[in-house]
Amino acid sequence: MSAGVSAGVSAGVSAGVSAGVSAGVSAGVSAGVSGASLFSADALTISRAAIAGPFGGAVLHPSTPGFDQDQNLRLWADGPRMTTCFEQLVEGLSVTASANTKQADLKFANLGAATIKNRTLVQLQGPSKNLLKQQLDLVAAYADLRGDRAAEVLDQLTAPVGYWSAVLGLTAHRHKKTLQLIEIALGLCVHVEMRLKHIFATLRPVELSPQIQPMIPTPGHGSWPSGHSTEAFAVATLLEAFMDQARPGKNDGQNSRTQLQRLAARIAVNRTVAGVHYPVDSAVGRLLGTSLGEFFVARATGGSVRLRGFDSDKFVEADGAPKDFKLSDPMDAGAYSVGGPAIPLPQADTLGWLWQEALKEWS
Amino acid sequence: MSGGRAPQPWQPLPKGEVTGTDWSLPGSIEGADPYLAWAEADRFEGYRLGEGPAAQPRWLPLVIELHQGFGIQDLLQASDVKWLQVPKASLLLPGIRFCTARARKGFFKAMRKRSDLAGIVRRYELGLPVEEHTGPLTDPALPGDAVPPCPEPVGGKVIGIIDGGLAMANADFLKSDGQPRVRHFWRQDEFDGPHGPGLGRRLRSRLDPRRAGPTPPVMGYGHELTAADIRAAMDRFTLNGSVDEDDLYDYLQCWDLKHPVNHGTVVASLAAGPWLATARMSSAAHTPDMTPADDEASRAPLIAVQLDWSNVIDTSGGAMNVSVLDALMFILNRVTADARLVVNISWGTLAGPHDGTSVLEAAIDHLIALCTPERLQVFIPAGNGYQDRTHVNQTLQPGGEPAELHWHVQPDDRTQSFLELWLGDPDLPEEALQDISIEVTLPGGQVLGPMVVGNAGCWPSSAAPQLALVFPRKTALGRHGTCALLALCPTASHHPEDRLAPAGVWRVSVRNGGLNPVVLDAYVERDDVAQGTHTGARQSAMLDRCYDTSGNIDSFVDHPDNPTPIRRSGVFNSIGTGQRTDSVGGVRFASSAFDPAARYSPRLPDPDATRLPQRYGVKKVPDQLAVSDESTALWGVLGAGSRSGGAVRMYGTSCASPQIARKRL
Repeated sequence: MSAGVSAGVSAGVSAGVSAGVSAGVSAGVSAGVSGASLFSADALTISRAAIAGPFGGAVLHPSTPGFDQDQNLRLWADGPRMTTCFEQLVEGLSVTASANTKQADLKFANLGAATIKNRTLVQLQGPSKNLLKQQLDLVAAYADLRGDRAAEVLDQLTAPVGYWSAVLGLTAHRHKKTLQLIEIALGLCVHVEMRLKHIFATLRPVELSPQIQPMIPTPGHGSWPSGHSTEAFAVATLLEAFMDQARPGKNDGQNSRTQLQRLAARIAVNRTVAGVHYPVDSAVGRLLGTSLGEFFVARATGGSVRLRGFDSDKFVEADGAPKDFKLSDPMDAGAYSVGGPAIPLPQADTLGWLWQEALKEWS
Repeated sequence: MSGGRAPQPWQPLPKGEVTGTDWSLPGSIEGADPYLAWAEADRFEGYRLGEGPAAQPRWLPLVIELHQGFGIQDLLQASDVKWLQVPKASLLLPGIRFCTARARKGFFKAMRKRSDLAGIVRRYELGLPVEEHTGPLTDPALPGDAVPPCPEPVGGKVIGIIDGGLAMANADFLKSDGQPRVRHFWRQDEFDGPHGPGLGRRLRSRLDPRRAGPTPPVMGYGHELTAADIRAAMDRFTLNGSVDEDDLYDYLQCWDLKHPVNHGTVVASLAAGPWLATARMSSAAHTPDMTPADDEASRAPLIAVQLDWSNVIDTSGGAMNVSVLDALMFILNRVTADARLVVNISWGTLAGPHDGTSVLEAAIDHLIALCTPERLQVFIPAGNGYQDRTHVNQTLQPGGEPAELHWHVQPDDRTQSFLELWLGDPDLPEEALQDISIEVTLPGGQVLGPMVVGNAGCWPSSAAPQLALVFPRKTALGRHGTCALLALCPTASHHPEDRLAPAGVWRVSVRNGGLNPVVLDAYVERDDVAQGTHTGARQSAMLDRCYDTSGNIDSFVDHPDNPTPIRRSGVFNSIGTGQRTDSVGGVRFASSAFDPAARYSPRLPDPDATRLPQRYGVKKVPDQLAVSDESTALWGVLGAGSRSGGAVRMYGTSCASPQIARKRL
């Protein structure tokens, strides 16, 4: 059941992450063994009837896959493999909401531990209506840039895989499992952000003024946090850690950090330009995406994370002016917070296997 | 030419609330700036930013020319800082006879009443009375003052850039050690924020001197950054060795640099960046050369002035005089006495005398003469309006048929429109103009009766005019002959209470009842939308059945045998016709010998050179040419984008001018 749900989520999010970088993959041999149609079924039936003869029993000797072995993931098709990894990744995640404080927490519990303890990963304080009204001035102002950014805004309606590819040289044929990591990370983001969007139920810019007139359809869910921002920063965080491991000692993750972070910020701001998000949506998306990226890496490699928080009430300039989203804002001050003891996370075996396989693609 | 309806009389211009001038009095318009007369009749409705309120100025920005033999100290002695404030920058050069100023009612009263002041001031022209330019200066010059010394003057060969949207921290303008080549950056505006119409204006915030820099005492307004300030801000936003330029410019409060293409950045890169514009171009005869330039211009220090954005989005005409002259004075105040300065001003308007005698052009010529051309060279584009039908040239024969101008004012024009009718020459007897009359027929047939020289009027009422005609014997706009100004309200507005003028074809009939032939040059003022702005401006133009708009080969130039009075030749940037400045037209890099000129640019030689007579001194051809298009199919040249490493394409003579400036450094 849950696998079906997550598969649906995952498939829905990233309609074809790999398609994004592989326009026109070979439709030859691999299509020949994976497709099914009335025509091929008919042909196979006739062919078998012509050649099979009397049934001779089980004469082949395949090796039997071991019970609950990570290695078995190599046997499975992409969709089921990613669903398997995804399911284990989100095991233990939950979201709680407080009607009194208008706060929501993302929590994690190690369900395999002897004593199950729920640890808070992210604490979010949503924006007031007054803050949104103030932020709307920025949304209106950013409309100035629509002419400049229309191509990007439209191209980034779906997962912006081509942009990460452009930064790191990801290709469909060489980096298939790296792309699957990204797809699973996007699934994680949607999984969490949709719940949070539902809880905070934030009005979209188009609902506050008849003059915003977004240049793209406003999505059918709440504004805060921005999904695009969450996803872009999660993938940036993931790829930075991944590239550091892919080329040990070379710091290629850190060397790519500036571009990955700027790309994430650009993707986030483009949604404000389009007229569908406030800057404060991008800011909390940066926090949430960073946290989910860290969570992903820790679950794949067995590391730890720290509690991150975002308090929308503090997302305002010192003089009371509306605050814009800025990449240079530190993530431990103002509306952002980080702290508390390290929270160790158990490695998710299946995700860990995929991570290691993906690393091999860069060797 | 009454169109069947009885002509109506012009109504007198009202008394001005800001200057106290009664513009209906005989003589009040003589030698005055007709734009000021119209602004007061219109209660400064045209001077607004976007959808903002009208200016309601307390002080007016002016450019002042003094009579021969007088200097700035004489002006200061004869005036009172309570009503006339001059930037200290004007005290730099002994013998200078031009300055900018902020003036309030007392100045205009003194000019009317006191012969000593009127004997010093030869003429003055209105600038752009918007926002901070309608208040006093912070530190105006007082009698006996000397110019404050520049703490870090720039010597040697220096490039000055006067423009809008200058990405001063772009890597193209850094030295190899990362220090900015922009040694001084002065921005004339006082607010940060987008320049879109209305919506974004709620966000505009006053510039913070801690970020945008302090007000330079020599100018008394705006904000200045030094190279050290720029570098410190860059360091603040450097992460992993890379400057976050998004957040850097946000910190420096340069909203406009969010746009990937900025006029000033492209222009500055063509003047002083690491690439020669034509080196990377390709043609059958030229292999692209990807080697960075190693000329003096690519290493020279820069002084950049960001013109007030009101110049870009000005909806009232083309009054950039104050901003440009102040920019030039700032640059002169930031170099050593022996510096060799090349300044590029890729900016301009369409209406003006075109003989170099506008106040701004005369002032620039004067500065070049004072500094000597070895120390100061100024380059200005020839303009991009060659095909825009904004110029009429016709000889008014005595007693002959009147010149009939058909001026097409577009519907949905949210900004005012202006037509300047220039008449007369220095050698023409003054009485030759006294029998010239102008009659205006509105779209729909309403005729406003003939007006002879020395008069002004508006319509339909003095209290709520939709248009005005100001027709003095002498004008502040130029030194030779005179200029009649026809000013119209916008043709559309979001606000139902706004006064509007009808859109359509306005017929302007100019008759010569005298004994001498008189040459008429009519110029439509620029009224288009600058890149990246949304002012709602719509360019008006002239109509004539003989004007060739076929688009056929050879139809993009004037032919002497075509009788149309609308002449491409003579369409020229009206701040670029000075005697000592260099105007630069645009040509194609790859083209047939048959037509090497960029379609929008004035040409050299003049295809219409045989058309005579012309008014004395009118400049019709550029002094220099430079590449502004790669070919007929690929317009523009590559220059720097707003972010380091970005290359963007821009076309226009704005791109030609800085290339010549670069060569001449």
